[in-house]
Amino acid sequence: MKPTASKRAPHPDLIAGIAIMAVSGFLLLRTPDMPTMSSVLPITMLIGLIGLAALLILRVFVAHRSERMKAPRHRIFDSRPRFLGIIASIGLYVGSVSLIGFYTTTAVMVPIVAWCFGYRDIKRLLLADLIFTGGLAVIFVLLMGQDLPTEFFIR
Amino acid sequence: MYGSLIDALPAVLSLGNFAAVVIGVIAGICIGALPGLSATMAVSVLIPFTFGMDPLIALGMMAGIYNGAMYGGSIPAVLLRIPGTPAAVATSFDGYPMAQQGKGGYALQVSVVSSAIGGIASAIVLMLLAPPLAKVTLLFGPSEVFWVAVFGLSAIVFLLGGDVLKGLMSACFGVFVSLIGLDTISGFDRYTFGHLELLDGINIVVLLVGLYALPPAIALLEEVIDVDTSTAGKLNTVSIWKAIPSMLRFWKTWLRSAVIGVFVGILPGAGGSMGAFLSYNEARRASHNPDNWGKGEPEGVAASETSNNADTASALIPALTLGIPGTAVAAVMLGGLLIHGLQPGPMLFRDNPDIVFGFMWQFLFAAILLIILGGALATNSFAQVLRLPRPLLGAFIITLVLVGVYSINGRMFDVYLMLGFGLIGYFMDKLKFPLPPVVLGLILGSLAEQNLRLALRIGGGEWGVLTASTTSQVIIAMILLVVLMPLISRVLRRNKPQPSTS
Repeated sequence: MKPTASKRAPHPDLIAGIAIMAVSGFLLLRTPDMPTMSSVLPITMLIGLIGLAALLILRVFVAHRSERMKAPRHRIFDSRPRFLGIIASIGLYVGSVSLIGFYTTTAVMVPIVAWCFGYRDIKRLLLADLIFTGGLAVIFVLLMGQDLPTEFFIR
Repeated sequence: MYGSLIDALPAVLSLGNFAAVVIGVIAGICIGALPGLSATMAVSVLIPFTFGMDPLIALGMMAGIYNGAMYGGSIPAVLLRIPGTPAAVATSFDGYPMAQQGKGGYALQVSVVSSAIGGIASAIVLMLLAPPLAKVTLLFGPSEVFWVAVFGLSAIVFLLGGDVLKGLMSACFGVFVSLIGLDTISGFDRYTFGHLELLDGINIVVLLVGLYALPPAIALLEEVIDVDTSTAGKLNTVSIWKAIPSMLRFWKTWLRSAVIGVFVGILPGAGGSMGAFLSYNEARRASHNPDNWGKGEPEGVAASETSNNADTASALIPALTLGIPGTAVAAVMLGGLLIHGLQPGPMLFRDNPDIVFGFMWQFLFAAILLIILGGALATNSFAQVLRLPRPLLGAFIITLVLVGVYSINGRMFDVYLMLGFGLIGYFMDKLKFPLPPVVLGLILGSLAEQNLRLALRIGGGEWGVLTASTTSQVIIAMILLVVLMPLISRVLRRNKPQPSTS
């Protein structure tokens, strides 16, 4: 039988293990500059992470051949395009907040994101947007007196 | 010892504090009712907004949300067989068949009364046990505190169940994150990469919001779930006060499940779902008609709901006295205490008795309020929450999370950091790395390090000082027990003769 695409792809634990080892190894390189007592726990934790990541990787290979050892293959994305869309939306939102201000960005982005991800009732969407953004303004401006990134038109 | 408890009562009964509990309970029920949103997420989102509030108001809201969400999780479990929170899974076993038989309203009433009873029992145990335990912990020196921190971490890794290897990695990650920033003893900055914002270390709220609030919000937008809620709002319930007499026959189940829930809550890492399953099984075993269970037995709903609410306040017993949270929500609440400048531990009881005892009262009131707010009329209303569109909700939560984190220090750096933790949390969640050890690692890591170094300094660099006292030896024995117990039980299970299937 031909293996499926997901079976052919590397095991997620394998990728996680390699990534953890690489990052921990990089961070470990910074410990020689530290005073001895300051470096004890970071070194212990990073070596611990490298050792455990090695075990995680080893488990994937052993589970491949053994019936007793299990390394379940968990699904990472329910929908990869939607996930990438969400990340892009968050990035765009955060960038826009700095550029054009918090309330303007929120008022524009919330309905667009909700519409793009499947809620198509425009009237309710706009009403919810008005209540939500207005509610945030009441909380932050009136109740908390907190300054949020200023709107571009009043700078 | 209990005098401070009475002294704290008037402040809790003030209008502002009481209103905070009411708002918290209502918000908690609504959030718990939404599948995919948990009490942990709700409290994480709330914490940044409480920054400027009076600590007691903030804690009242958290107590309300925690209690409300634990009950709220039963609404979709009963009406749609979709547990709103992980702890409500056992509720769906009998709740959903009851709803199919046209008794959905009664199932929710049993659930709300049982939740309230569990919550009340838990709050009373918290009030009775926490003050004496805090007195005992006052006797702890640096080496004992170090071992308590190690115990907390090992307990959460080994009692959490699931993958121990991944649990250990999560704990190591949490401890490592706790080390970022200025080393308070040597003055050396560790892993700040030149960012002055990191000198004070990673703000626990930033980590909590990233790990617990962002991944469920992403999931709301990512997953396309079409839930049929057309019948969810039509419950045909009678007044809850008329329904209560018919529930009095569950008193044994309430009592048994409350004890199980409280005990499970105190154990670090165990938590609501384990308590609910244990109680359900025990109640079924004690039942005269076990064959009816799973087919719409209200006692099943009573068992699981009493238990999953009985672990709410009890999870705070080790959290408030030792700084070791019993559940993920308790860990998040510890974060809430920390941002208000309240360091969990015995000193909290000495320095801020009005707040810590007021918090206990708020747990009790939140549990009592469940009956009033979650009663017949409210149950019909809260069922409407299920109709909220998921994409809109996801967009709202992401906005709240971002603005909440920004508002703590008024800087975008925290937002970027939170987004980083959010991504890590998303992948950890998908790869089944448990999240509670990360939070506990962050809370206990620096505590363990500081006390280890302090103990070594006091002992003149002799490592033997760590094991010299009897208390330390007892805690070490407990650590060994917690670490070895799962291994021993696994070996015993493997050696147990399998029943013949032929």
